[in-house]
Amino acid sequence: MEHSFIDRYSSLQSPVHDLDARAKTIAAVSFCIVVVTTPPHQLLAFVIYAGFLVWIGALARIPLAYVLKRAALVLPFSAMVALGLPFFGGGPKTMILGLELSTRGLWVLAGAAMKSFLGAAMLILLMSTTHFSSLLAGLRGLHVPALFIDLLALTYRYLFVLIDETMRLKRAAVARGYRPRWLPQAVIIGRLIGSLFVRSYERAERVYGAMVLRGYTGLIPAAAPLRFHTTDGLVIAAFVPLIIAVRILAR
Amino acid sequence: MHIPDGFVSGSINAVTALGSAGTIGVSLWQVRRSLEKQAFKIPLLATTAAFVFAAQMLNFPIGGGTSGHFLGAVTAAALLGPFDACIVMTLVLVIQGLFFADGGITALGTNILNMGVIGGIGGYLVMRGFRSFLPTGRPGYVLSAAVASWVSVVLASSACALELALSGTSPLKIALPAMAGTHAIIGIGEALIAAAVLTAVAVARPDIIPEWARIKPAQLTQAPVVRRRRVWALVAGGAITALILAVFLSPFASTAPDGLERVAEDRHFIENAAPDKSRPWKWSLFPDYSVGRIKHEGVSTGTAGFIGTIIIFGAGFALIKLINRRPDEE
Repeated sequence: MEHSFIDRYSSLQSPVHDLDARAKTIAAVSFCIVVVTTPPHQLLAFVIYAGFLVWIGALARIPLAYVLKRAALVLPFSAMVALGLPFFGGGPKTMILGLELSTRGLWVLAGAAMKSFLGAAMLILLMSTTHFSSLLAGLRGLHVPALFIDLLALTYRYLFVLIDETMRLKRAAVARGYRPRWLPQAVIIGRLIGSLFVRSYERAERVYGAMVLRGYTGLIPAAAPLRFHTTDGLVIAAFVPLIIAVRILAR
Repeated sequence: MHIPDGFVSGSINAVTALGSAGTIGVSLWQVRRSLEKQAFKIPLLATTAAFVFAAQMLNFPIGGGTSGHFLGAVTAAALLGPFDACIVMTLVLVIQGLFFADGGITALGTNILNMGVIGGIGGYLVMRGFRSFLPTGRPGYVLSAAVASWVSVVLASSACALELALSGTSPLKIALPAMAGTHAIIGIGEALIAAAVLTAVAVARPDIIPEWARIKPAQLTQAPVVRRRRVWALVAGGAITALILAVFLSPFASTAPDGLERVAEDRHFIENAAPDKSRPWKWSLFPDYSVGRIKHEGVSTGTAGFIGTIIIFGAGFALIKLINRRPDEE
C-alpha cells in the first residue's frame, strides 16, 4: 500500500490547500461539532452543510465521487440504529414496507446517517487538502503534547511498512492453502499476528539505533514551518459564525 | 465498534472526551517518565500502533460466511503495559478517524474510552486479576491474557451500546444484546488470537515481555506450578458470581416483552402461539422464568435463576471433566 491511498490529493494547488493547517483543523472540527448538534428535523440546515462541502471540494478540485465513495463507508454503522427501530415506542407512527414504525425512531436513524456521512466527508476533505506533516505541525501549534505528535508522525511513517509486511504474511499463508471458514481457524491468524509483532519490535530496535546515530535526543524537530496569514484568520472568522448561523436559522 | 459522528449526543461526547483526555494525559505522563530509562519506547510505541492497525486489517472467520477483526488492546497491554497500550490504541484510533473515516472526529473521545481505556487499561486489570488465580509461568500468562481479551471486547462493546442508549440513538434493550452478543462471539476469536500472538512472541523473543525480563530463561522452561487450591478458588468464585447475578439481578431484568414477543403482540399472533398461556411450551421447566408455586414475582424469578444457574454450572462442569479426562482414568 502506498501513502497516496489516503492523502492522494493533498499535493494539489488550490486556495484551500494554501490555508494554514491550524485554520483548517479548527474549521473542520467546528463544522463537525455544529453538524452533530443539529436536530435531525432541520433538513434545510443539512442541505446547506452539504452545499458547503461540495463548494469546498470544488474549490480544492477534489473529485466529488472520491469523497462520496470514501464517506459512504460510514453508512453501514446506521444498521445499528435501524435494528432498534421497532423498539422506539410511543408517538406518531409511520408505515414503511408494511411495518408500523415510530416516526421519532426514523428521525433518529435519518439524523445519525446524515451526520456521520457529513462528518466523514469533512474529514476526507481536510485530509485531501492538507499534507500529514503540516497537519501534525498544525496540531503542535494547537498545543497537542509534542510527545504525542512525535508518536503520531512515527506511527504514520511505519504504518505503510507494516501494512505491506502484513499483506506479505497473508499472501504467504494463502499460498500455503489457508482458506479459513470457521472460528477455531483464527489461531493461524494469531500466529501470523505474533510474528508480525516480533518483526515490528525488531524494526523498532533498528529504527531506534538509526535515530540515535543521527543525533536523536528526545524530540523530532518540526518539518514545515507554519505561517498564519490574515486570510487564515478571516476564513475562521467567516466560516465558523456562518455554520453556527445556519444551525440556528435554517429550520 | 468504531462509532461515527452523529450517533452519540453532545453531552455524552463531552463526558467521554474528558475521561479519555484525562487518562491519555496520565498515560503520556507515565510514558514520558519511563522514557528516561528507555528512550527506545518512542519508536516502539509507534511501530506497535502501526502493528495493531495492520493486524486489525486481518479478518478472521466466525462461521457462516461472517468475519470479525482483531482489536488488540489487551495484547498490546500484555506486551507493553497498560499505559503504553492506552497510548497505542489512541494513536490507532486517531489515525483511523483521520484517514479512514473509521470512527468520527467528534466521537473520538468515546471511541478512545471504549477501546483504549476500557479495552486496554480495563482489560489489563482483568488480566492482572486472573493472573492471581491461574498457574504461574507461561500458561497462566497466556490464559489470563486470553480471558481478559474476551472480557475487554465484551466490555468495550457493552460500553458502546450504553453510550448509544444514553444518547437516545438506540434503545438499550436492543443495542446491548446486539453488541454484547455479537462481540461475545468475536471475543472468542480475539482470545484465540491473543493466546496465539503471546505464545508466538514468548517463543521467539521472551525477553520482550516486560514481566519476564527479570526472570531467568531457565525458569521459563520449567513446568508451571499449578496450584490446585487456586483452580478451585477460581471455580468457586465464578460459580458464586453467576449465582449472585442470577438471583439478585434477574428480577430487575426488563419485564417488557423481548423483540420477538413484542412483534408477536403487536401483530396479534401471540395468542395463537400457545393454547395454554401460562405454559407457552409444554415441557418448559420455568415458564416465563418463574417457579410456579412461589407467588412473589421477584422471589420466583430469583429462584428460577438460582436453579437454572446450578443446572448450567453442573452441565458445564461435567463437560469440562469429560473433555479433560486423562487416558489413565478411563
